Amino acid sequence: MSNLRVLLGDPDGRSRNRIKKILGANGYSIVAEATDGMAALRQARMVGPDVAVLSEEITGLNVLQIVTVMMDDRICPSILIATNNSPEFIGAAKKSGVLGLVPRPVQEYSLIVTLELAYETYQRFNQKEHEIEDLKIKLESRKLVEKAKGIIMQKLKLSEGEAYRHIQKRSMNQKVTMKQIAEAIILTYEFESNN
Amino acid sequence: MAITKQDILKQVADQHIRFIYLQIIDITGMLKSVTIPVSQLDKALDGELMFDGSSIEGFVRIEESDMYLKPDFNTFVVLPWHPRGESEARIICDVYNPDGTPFSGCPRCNLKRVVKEAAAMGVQLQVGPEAEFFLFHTDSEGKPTTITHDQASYFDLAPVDLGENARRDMVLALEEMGFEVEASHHEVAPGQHEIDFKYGCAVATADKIATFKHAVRVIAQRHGLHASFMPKPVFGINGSGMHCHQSLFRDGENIFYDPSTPNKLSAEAMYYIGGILKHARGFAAITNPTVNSYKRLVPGYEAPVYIAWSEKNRSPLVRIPAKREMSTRIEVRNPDPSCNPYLAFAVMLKAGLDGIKNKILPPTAVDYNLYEMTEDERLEAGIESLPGDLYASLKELKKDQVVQDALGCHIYDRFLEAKSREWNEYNVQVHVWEIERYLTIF
Repeated sequence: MSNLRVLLGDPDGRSRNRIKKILGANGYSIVAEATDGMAALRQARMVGPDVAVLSEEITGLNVLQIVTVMMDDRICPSILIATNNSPEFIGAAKKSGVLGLVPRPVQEYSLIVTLELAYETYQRFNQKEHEIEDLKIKLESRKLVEKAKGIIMQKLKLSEGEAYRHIQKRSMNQKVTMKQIAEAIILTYEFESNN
Repeated sequence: MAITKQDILKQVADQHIRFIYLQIIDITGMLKSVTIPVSQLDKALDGELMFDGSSIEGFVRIEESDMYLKPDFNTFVVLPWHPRGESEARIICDVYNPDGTPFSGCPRCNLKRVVKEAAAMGVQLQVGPEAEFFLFHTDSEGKPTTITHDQASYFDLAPVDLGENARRDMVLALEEMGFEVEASHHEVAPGQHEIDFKYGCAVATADKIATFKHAVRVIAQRHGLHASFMPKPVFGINGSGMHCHQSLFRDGENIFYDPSTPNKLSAEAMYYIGGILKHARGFAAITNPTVNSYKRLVPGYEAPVYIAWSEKNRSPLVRIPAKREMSTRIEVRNPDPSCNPYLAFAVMLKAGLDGIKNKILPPTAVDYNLYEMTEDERLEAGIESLPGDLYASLKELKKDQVVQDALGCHIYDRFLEAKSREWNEYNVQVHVWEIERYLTIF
């Protein structure tokens, strides 16, 4: 199994020991322990764990609030240790961004599987998020280049391919991105048409 | 650019916002929220929503409890954090009577009233605040303590400065909410921080301070820290102030600047300082409204005690920063972040305007350290001090008609009542200091 670094948040000493024993035996290292929510957040930000295992009974802050912060600020994925199976709790849990739930009494197999799956899901989620960010930037650049291309075609009476080549050449000569060249063309055009 | 109802509805739809907080300001300056689902937004934006005013401190009595919420569209902002895992927005509201007039107990409406008086004189107040606060750790039950990160790191043992990280996130969140943050730094005391944002007109800046305090508390909690704006949380180290830089503008020009005078301050600037100094004892109850406020206003911790002004020295109540031309301004140093910014700006503006109306000249500037003078020397120079405690400052407030006018009858009465109660509660308590001092020797 992997050797993930785990933050454990649980106010109950016996429960903590039991979870620590399971995790230790499976090659995980407990890098931080907390008994209340505020301390869990401090610890998480200080040590940057790979995954957080949080008990529903944690004090100070609602456990789902902690999960949301962990997810919002991309600290790490969280899984819950819980007994609550009310529809309200499940509904709130879904919105919080929690990636797994292990019911009490904690079984070794279910804890390990939930933890591993949560970590994997989070990695993929992060990767997709980066891809989306990249695509957004590319799309934005593409839009601007298209617009600039239209302006060049009209002003210099060039074909589409030639206009594109024109922007590309300028970008290479001036060692700036095509997006920047496109922005300059659009700005100049707007400036000229306003005067 | 002014935000329209359509802009708000569009943003709410685009960002899938499901809940909106309608925020109002209570007499202590805290933001109180009425949460509405998106289905009620249209009605709310038309100012048709009512709320029960008797549930908010310092508002109304039960028999006159139905009030209207009139949202200020320009204060609409999507919250950069997700309290319940989804996007939420807020909008600040003025409180109106059922007959459609501004409610005199609403601190925001009241500040607008005083701002209008200034406008009638052709001037507009610009304020730049510098709010300080502490970031404390919590105990094992999540309750706030006065332990700062600097001390806590002995048992947390990590190279990461939680306070610095939290402050960085606060600045980012504030910028997302449209603040222009000018500076953010660690302060003199351990665990103490300061975030300064760009000056603006009185109402907008008061909105920003109220929002700022709320944002700082939320972000601190997200870092497992407790943010406190208490003026003097720890004995023996600097307290937290909220210095207020002030200037008056007329037609886009700073009227505190006059290149023809030796110190390049205009007659209006001098009169404004004169008014502030004259009414400082009277408005202290508003700018320093808690029992604890007066534990900060003691010699030795960079907080003002004496009513004087200076261009150089930082010990008096009013300092004149060296910048001139458009940046000419005065810095009033006694306010602390426990004050209600709407009330504090109203009383300071009114005091300054009183100075201008009645051509009140301030005494000669004091360019030396006031704390090094003896009491006799100070008396001889005619330098008074701020009230020593909340009780004394309430007594001064009762004597100052100009400050009372700045608050209006409703707020004045409620404020006096609430603060007298607060003082009496404090007064009958047996404090830790007394036990330590007397228990064993008597």
